[in-house]
Amino acid sequence: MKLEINEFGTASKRFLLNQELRGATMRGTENWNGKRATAYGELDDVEAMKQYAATVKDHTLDNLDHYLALLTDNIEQRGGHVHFAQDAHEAREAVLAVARTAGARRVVKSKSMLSEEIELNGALEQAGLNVVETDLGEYILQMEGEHPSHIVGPAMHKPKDEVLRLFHLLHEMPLDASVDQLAAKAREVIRDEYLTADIGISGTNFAVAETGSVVTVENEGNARLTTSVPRVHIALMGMEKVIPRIEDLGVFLKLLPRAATGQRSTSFVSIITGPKRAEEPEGPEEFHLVIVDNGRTGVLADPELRSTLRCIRCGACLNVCPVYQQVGGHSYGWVYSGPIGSVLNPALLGIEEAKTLPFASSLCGGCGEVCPVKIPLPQQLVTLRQRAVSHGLMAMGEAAGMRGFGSLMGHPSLYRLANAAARFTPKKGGKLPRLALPMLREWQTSRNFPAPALRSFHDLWRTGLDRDHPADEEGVDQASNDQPPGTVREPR
Amino acid sequence: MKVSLFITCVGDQFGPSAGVAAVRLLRAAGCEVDFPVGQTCCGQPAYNAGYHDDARAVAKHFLKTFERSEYIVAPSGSCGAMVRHYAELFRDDAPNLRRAWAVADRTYELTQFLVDVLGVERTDANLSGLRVAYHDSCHAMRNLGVREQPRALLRATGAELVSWDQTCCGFGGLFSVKMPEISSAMMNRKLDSLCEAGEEQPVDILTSTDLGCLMQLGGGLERRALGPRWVHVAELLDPASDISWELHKRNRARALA
Ligand code: SF4
Repeated sequence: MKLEINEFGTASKRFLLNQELRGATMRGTENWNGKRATAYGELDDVEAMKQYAATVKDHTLDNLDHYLALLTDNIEQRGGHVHFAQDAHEAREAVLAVARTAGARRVVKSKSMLSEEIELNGALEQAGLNVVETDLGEYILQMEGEHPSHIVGPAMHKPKDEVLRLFHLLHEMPLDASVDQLAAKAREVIRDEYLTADIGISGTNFAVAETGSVVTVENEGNARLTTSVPRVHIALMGMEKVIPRIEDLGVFLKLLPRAATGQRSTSFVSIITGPKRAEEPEGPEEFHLVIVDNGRTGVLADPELRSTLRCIRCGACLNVCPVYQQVGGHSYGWVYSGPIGSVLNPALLGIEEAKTLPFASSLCGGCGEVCPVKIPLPQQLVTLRQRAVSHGLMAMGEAAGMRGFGSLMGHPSLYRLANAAARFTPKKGGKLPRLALPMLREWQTSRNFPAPALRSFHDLWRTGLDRDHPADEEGVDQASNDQPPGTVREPR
Repeated sequence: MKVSLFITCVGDQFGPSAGVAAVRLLRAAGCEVDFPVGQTCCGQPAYNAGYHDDARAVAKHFLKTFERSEYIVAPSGSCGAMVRHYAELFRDDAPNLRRAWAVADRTYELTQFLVDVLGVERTDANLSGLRVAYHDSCHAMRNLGVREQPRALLRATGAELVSWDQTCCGFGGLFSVKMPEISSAMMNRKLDSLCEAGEEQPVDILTSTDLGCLMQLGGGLERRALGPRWVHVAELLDPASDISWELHKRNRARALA
């Protein structure tokens, strides 16, 4: 996916003008928000569970070399192959090398955001391979030539009408087909692809070090077919996806579907350990795991951002984010969107590449609250803003303004002066002028901005409010005040 | 009990009447209210925008001003929450870190202080029959745990709390001017929901613990020339405030009619 992160301003404005895409995104996210709240609510102690999950992840990240080595050993013992890729290029090459050796022509893929990150599809197609996405949402996007806008619901932004039109054009489906009919049609079309594919490429939700297994979590069954029907299976995983033991999986299998779609469990959980064994009648003959770094080591070494590597890609922070809900995933300009994208993209690519994203938040804190692995996203957004500032990436005027703010607010005498200046009126009894700060133009596009109060609280305090029982509150409020002093309790 | 009021810079300049109401509410609850006159701002604008050196300068001034206060109470959850972020600003500066922790532990949002510390269950305001839309300030709710306290006090006045959209108002300090289109879209989502809530029976008042949110939502309401009036929750709860008095008169007129 092409890097267009610093176009966030333009892209988001364009999205805001498109009522259909906005509507689809709002409905989709709100649907999952409601379901997540219910599903979280069913757990006895969701906070303790999140804490446990975060602890497992932190422990693994602290000992990542050990667990990745253990995972590799166990996979190789079962006859699988492990490839380490330092960057996107190496990852693509690893997959292409397997494809070449296998003499492959046709590839089926189940959902993998990592494959978007390393831009795999383009590379495969360039090498002459036929690639078919098998996840319904991904399939729709592939047919449309689009990228996912959400890490869990890739076609989140697609209005139903557009999907109906697409299926009408491609498969002559009636324009009023139901979602189930569309899914059935897609299944029918894609099913043939599994049978003729040489390679199945899947993403990885978790990898269990002690057993050498990769785990996929899904609802459509397409990942299970992708990983079991073709003769070669290639699993892709970010290096942070490993967990130590099979019993650690439990807490994640409880949290992930609840956080993502509000399900107690997904329809399919596949735990795949190596290729087909001698005694097994079917299954892939080859199993490859491509473990991708692509900037993750840098994040691991960054104490303030390291915890983003806990992320299990549930998408809850996207759904709950009132900014994401308005601007959709594509505005973020790269694979990861929403709050986790605003942190992870600059963390992986460097702040220069993604300096706008940390500012795309009102810091409402919703993301930090719902995250099943307790990533302090709001704090990390502020940390990244601070880095953008210290790297000198902000407009000069803003930095100067902030220095002015700092000295104004750090010195009460200056503050008093400004307080008086804000209330200066040329004629006695004249109306207070509205402050003419340049940024207020932006504010006033959609909102009125109040004039400062006639008298500031500081002024009021000096003139009577400081006494515990002032004679009355004269001067406290506006002039046309028919209110009697004192307390009124009952209607008289 | 001695309480130092932190009016906040926004409150000082744009909402002094909320501060006056806060003083009356605290006094009515038996507090001796003090106002350290050297106070300015909590430093949040600079902190949230990433200018941490400038924020530190303001934070140091805040610590100096309020260090000797027994309790620090602000008619704002957001500024109260900012004081809790001081620890982040001073994490490599042990002496100031200790001061920051000590001050943060004694800092409260107004309704939180009234309910949680003073045990106030009701104020003397009578707002019976009034339909009130309460807006949760994100920082009050998520960083300070202020959710039930203002609602309980509002209910005790006899007001009816209407249910409506509970998301962020889109203010977010500098965010509102850096990304005005997104900020406005978030605001409009709330205002649309407010209109919907008033479809059958009008909503009388929009209120919140935070003036920032209210300037955003209220400024939007005024621009649309529509809907309820907006006022800080302190003024609503204070029976001697303008608005409370006016509402009271309206109620009385309704009762007589
Ligand atoms: S950051 Fe947390 S909430 Fe967001 S996708 Fe990752 S795990 Fe889910």
